[in-house]
Amino acid sequence: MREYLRSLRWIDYYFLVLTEPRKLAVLFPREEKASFTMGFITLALVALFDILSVSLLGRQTAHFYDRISYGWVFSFILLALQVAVLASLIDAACQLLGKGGNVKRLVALLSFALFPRTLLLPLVFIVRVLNFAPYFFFVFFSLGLTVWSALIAVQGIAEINSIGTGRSLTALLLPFVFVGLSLFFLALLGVLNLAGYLSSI
Amino acid sequence: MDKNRKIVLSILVLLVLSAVLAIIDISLTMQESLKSPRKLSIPEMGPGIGVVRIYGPISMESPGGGPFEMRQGSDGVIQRLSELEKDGRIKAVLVRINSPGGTVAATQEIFNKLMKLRKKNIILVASMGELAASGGYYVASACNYILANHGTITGSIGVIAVSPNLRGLFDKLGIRMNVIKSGRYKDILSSYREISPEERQLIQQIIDSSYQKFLKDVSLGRNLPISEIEPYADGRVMSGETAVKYRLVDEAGTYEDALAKARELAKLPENCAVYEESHNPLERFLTGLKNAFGRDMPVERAFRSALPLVEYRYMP
Repeated sequence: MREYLRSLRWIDYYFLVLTEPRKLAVLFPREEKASFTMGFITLALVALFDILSVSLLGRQTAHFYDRISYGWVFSFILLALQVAVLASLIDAACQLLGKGGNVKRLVALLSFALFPRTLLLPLVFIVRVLNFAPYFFFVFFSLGLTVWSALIAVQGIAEINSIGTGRSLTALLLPFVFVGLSLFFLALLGVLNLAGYLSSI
Repeated sequence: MDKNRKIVLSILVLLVLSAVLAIIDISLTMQESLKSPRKLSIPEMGPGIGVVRIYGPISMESPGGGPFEMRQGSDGVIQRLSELEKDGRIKAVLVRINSPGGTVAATQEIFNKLMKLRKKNIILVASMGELAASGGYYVASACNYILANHGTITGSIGVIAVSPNLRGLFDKLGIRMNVIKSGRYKDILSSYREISPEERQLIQQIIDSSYQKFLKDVSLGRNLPISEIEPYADGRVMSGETAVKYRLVDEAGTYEDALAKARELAKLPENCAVYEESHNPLERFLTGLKNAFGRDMPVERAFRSALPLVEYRYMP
């Protein structure tokens, strides 16, 4: 591991994720273990930078130390779970489209795809120092970086499953549609239940 | 090292730098905010004053309610008083009233509960808000000491029963009621016909008996002879200032004055705890929803469906 770090080959992952996501996806089968590990390290970084970005704009109290310690571990686990579930759903969507079967690579890809989110911290830091609509720009940059992450994921999914960009986009969106519809029906059932409860008392 | 790696490495260094700067910035801002005086909120403890609020028309609330709902109506007030009674820290109870009164039974239940606390040597101080008339005053009279604002509307000692007479309207619309009853008075105070003199006399008896009970209880609570209260117990409303003059109220004063009086009478220190009624946000939310979309308060419902109610209530 030490030698791997010294070789600086791990930097290539970040270069490729920012410039050529398709080439990054090609790298996964060759360095499966290393890419998987680096993916999780990236997730830990993203969780840390997320906490710092939000803390920079929020009310600064001693609670920050809890957020940066326990909160970091919590965010990391939550993020890892999100990535695992999303990768499974995307793989299921790919199987519906006649491909799939590469969940491990998808997990690594989605972890790396979140890397641009770390850039939110320096951007937020600048607008905070300038005191120029920091909350607006926080939302604005977050949206922009999310779109960037989605583009990385789409290209990576297309490469891993050897499918076109359109089908790759469909595979990425299907899980969100599925989760959205499920949540909608759950909320509907919850509201009906609550209304029934309130009218019966 | 190739050029691409150098670029990425500089981005990573920039990220680490911004993270370090962010941590320093947050820590410095935190230190500054800690230097400024902070108001510490510590939980109330030790001997103190319990606060009970009686707001709006007094009536009994149906027992239903969900597990997360606040108890309302006289049952809710009595439950709160029972909690304070059992709490060994409570040396005095401040009863804040802003009510036009309400149904006879509900008002009497609250009065009796307050008298029970008074017998246990718990100091009771009433603080009147905008309105503490009729049943609102009845409840206040159970307290050892009453304070009202100069502009508080109080008094209205009396009983009222209101029933609409819709006979003219029914005749005009050609509506006739089929009534099969077991006794001549079974449909007393019906809205579709005139009230007979005998029926009026029967209702008057209930009114008179409730009125006498009102007078007796006010006399007991205020420690005044009935003869001294009776001249002003003709249903008239009065300001807090006038009520002080007629000895129906002890002193003109605000909520803060009432708290100070409770401290003084219970021999509690200046900084003693004040135990306010607390409800969790879920309780408040569900009760708010029920009040907004659910059934009406019983008094309102009964009034709307034209059922006659005998009330200690100020009805302008």
